[in-house]
Amino acid sequence: MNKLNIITPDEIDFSAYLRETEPKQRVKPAAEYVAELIERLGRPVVNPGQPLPWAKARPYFRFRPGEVTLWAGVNGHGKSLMTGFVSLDLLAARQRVCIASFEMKPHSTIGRMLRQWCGYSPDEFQGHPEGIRAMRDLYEQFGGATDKHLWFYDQQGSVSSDQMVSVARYCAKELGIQHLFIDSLMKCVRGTDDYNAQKNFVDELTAIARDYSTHIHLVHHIRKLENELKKPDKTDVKGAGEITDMVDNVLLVWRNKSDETTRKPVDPDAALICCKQRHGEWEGGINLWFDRASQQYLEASGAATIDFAQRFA
Amino acid sequence: MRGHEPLIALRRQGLRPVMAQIEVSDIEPLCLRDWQHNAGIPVVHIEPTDSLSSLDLRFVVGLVVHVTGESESRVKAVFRACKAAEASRVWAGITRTQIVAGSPVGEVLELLDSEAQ
Repeated sequence: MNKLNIITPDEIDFSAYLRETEPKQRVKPAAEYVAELIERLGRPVVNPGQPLPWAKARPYFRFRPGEVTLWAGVNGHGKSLMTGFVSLDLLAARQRVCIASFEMKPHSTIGRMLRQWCGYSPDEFQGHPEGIRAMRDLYEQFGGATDKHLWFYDQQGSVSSDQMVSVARYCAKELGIQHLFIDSLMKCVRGTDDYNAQKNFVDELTAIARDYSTHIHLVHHIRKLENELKKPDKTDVKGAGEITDMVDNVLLVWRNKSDETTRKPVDPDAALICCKQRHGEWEGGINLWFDRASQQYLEASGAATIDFAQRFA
Repeated sequence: MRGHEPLIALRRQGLRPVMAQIEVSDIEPLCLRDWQHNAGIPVVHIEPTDSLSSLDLRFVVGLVVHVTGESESRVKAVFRACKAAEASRVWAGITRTQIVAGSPVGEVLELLDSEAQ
């Protein structure tokens, strides 16, 4: 039987061809772009990105494909808890998510997400077989709902920036990950004062996000503020100043550390402050209230928690 | 755009496939990462978020290319772009998929051939 030659020697020296045609490929008349903008008129925006989990913030902010969002906050202000909550909301929107946390093991991260999913801590049901059975059902539902959508990069401690860049590329290219969470920048770049390494790492991440149309969420710290009650701003972000210049969005997580016993219900437990959004007009803050049982951030004092089990269904 | 990098890597090694398939679609093609299930024909996916004017289609030079998709304007734009990128021949099919009796049924609404123009 004759064999079909599906791969044959190429008569074109392709590498040379790419080199020779590079200038022509990159320098284009504006008319090409204008023609595309005309063609897009009247069409709905395709995949404008994913909104924040809270209804009141939905019109104002999007996690767009091809962008990098910097999540910054003071140590202990709930950055990882909030990014876990946001990733759960992204999963509910059937996005493919990968979490690279170098401080928390996948079990711990999943455990916290499960609590946000169920609305309860499993500890509350110790000694109650029916409660444990109900929790087991919810856990199994979670496993089914996140199958092929939630991934973890299982590496504790620190990682080299080159290795993290390879992982980011693999996730985007091979797994089709749409949201990669890296927690945190300081675990990928050694030396808090190595500004060039920080800059190069963030530069690589922005290139990967753009080339593969994925969204990278990068967690970072801000300087210890003189007064923790003060809300931070962009200039408080640690490290190279270019980090906030290079990323597309900057979200600051702030926790209200004032005395909880004297706080009024209208006073928020936390705030998410958007101080940069390259492709959106809105910058500002949204107040949030923390529900201890579910570990969810709510958009109003006493608001109902999100029923993720129903949203995944 | 996804799926073009393995094709570029193949051509950088001095090899070429018999043809390439470009799908202009909002659904990821089945064989995007698995050519052997597509008779060894590489599949490239152009997504709705891709800006066509920014795409680098030089990997089609000298190849026979088959473009398919439901968006008439985008399929025609990719057809023109493949010709401009010096593909040896380009076919493009503007398709429509409907659910008939619970099953998807595909239909070709218009077929373009670079050699017929």
